[in-house]
Amino acid sequence: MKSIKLISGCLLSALLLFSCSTNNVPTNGDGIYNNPNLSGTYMQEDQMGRPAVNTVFVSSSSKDGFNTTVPSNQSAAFQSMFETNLLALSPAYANGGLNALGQDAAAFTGLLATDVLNVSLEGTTTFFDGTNILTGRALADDVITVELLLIFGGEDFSENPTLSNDNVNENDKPFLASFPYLASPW
Amino acid sequence: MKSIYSLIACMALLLSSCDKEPKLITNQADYNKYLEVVENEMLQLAYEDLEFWEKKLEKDSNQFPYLVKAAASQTLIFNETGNIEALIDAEKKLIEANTRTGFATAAYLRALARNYIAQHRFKEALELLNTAEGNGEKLLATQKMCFDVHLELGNTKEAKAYLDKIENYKDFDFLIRLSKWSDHEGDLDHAILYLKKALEIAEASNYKSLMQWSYTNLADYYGHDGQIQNAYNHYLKALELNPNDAYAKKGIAWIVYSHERNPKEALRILNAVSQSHNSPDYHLLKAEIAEYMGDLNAKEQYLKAYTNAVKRKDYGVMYNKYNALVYAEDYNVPQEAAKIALEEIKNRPTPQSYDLLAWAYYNHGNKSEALNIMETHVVGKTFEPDVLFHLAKIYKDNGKLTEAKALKRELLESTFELGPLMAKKIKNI
Amino acid sequence: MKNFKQTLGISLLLVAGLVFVAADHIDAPAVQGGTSDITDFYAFQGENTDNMVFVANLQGLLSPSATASATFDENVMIEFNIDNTGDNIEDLVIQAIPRNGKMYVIGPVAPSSPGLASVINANSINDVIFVDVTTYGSEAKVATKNGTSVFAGPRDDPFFMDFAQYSEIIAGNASGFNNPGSDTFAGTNVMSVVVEVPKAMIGGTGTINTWVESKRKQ
Repeated sequence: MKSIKLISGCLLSALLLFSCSTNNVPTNGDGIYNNPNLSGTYMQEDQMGRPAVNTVFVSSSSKDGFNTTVPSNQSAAFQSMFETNLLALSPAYANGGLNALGQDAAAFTGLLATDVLNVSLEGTTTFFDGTNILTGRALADDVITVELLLIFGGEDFSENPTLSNDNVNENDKPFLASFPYLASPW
Repeated sequence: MKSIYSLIACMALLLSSCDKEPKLITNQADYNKYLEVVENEMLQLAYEDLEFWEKKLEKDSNQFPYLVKAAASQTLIFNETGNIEALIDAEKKLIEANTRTGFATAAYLRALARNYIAQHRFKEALELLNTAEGNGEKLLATQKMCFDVHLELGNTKEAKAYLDKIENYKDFDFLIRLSKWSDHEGDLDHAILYLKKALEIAEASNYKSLMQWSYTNLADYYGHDGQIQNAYNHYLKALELNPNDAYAKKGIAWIVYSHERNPKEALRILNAVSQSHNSPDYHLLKAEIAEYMGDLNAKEQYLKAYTNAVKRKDYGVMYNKYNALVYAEDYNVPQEAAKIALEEIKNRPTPQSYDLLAWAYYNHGNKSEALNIMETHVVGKTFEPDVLFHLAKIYKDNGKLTEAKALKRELLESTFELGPLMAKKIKNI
Repeated sequence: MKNFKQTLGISLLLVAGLVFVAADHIDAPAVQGGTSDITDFYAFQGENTDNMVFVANLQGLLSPSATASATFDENVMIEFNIDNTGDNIEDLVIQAIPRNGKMYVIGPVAPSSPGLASVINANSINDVIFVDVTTYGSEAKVATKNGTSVFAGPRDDPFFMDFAQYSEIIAGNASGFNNPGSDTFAGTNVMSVVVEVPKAMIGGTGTINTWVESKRKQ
């Protein structure tokens, strides 16, 4: 009995020693296949590119499918649904109407149906700042108003004024200049 | 030294083999700390959360998402306290949120359906889920709930069809339902196996509430299977995660009462639980324990407290099953029991509901009609021991002794689940 | 903000909610899945303009008290996808996996294969940055290695919008927005994962297409 205890005591200290050494010199595989084990297959449940696109343009019954279709296949599978829903939602595209990007309904939904964020690696990154458009998405961007303007605002952002701005223009807490940029929680 | 050990071992052996002095499993040192009234942190947070959303609603009543958030807090408050008003208030908020969205948001429909399931309003829950299924968003989530409701309604075929639709052996939600289905089919071994697999996923997700749920449900299954030590350990695991888990404490009280035959200690536990968790169930359980102790006065008091509590309109049909049993057995008003049973059958025509009717007839002295109902609607359709106990009694009094004896053998294996009062009655079958 | 899942208000409290029924069984817990819902995605140039920042938010509409008990589902990987060849197929991924209260971040690295199924793309701990998930009420914990910084934990929800009025319009109950509008997300928090990487690691110049995915361990 006593000897068993002794042996397990030895084992324990050996383990402790071992764990000390792994802290200093990472062993190949640590933190991936053990301690912790991160390995395995992960299957997609949700995805997102541009803000609000899924809500506005994807019908309820297609949302599950849209969330698990790779972006490179989304346009072929969903562009026509996007166009139908856009035309049902907004009068701005009727009779050959365009948006401020000069796009008709087919062109605009052709862009949106591939739900990725286009981001410039050179310079300003913004959804729209008056000059740059779709070069990223910054925290302070009023993306909803930009999308409403593109959906309802017509060629020069002047159509359907009551629909093209939700009149919530900024966040309720200032962002940080440095990492992690998002404001501390309430 | 050695001889003392062997003496203890012998005594333990003697004790465990002896029917009247079962092996002690529980230990006050394990659970006393959970019986002291301490602040329920989770409950406190839920109250704060509710207050947050109600303040926002006051300021901005058209922001309907806040209604759903407030309802979620109220559901949690109901879970933690048993306070039925919270559940009913949550229902009102969820109805309003659904009205505002034209009953076209699947997630809101599911949230209201969940509320109805808690209230045992299964048919209304099913209607909402059917709408949600038509809507199609998060279809699997809806179909999982469709399984739950169909099973409660006794629509076994439909339940199985939904179970097939959601099959995914890596999914917690599927595994707990497969487990439930296995239990429903009388296959307790697989019920335990699948719940253990689900528990592994819950533990890997590190989500405390899911782990807690899995521990208590697994504990229940272990109890049904006669693995009392395992059951006890898992109730304790749940309490480690949430010291206020009333369900786990009730489970331990049941072990103390039913397995260890220590009614006084069981009552002590239950009295501690019912201080912070206000559910009529406790009165019933205490009444049973009082009867076992031979204190009929106390039993009557507890029964009175129970009937007073469930009189509240808010409880709706939630306690129909227990009311039917209490009226049939304790109050000796089988007509009232039959009335409730018929309502239950209308709400959900399950073998369990028909059992209540048969039991009312039996207690009214109409044993042949009781047998008739059992044979038409119950026999071979459920494996629940309390139902089988009724069936055995009805068989016996109808002279079907072979059937009664066969059931008796089965029931003797379920005495832990049924409790000592029933155990005594089973021996007389 | 993606499909306003967070505005649906289906909180984790509800996910957690085990309905105590007056019967001899407990109901099944609310169906899982809310823990993998992405509420928002951002990509912007960092304070150091040589860097790019990616933000994924989950579990929206958390009140301060709910935030205190919010955690990441440790079976769910957050994966930032980067296409720098213009075909909308990811050439690089940044994977973030929570485990035991830490967030493990791998990449940017080429995925072993693009698409819906992912495996860990790291050979050793050297390829991984990890950071303690910041707890509510404490200073943001940040880990930095090889020019990459990571953060995980509760933050103020940066999104702002009058979601309720938008819904009334869609439902045909209102003809326009109110002025002023009401920010549905005011005073609420989210669970965030923020990763900042040198632009040189993701293509250096030109334009990328990027999106974020949540993936559940099988």
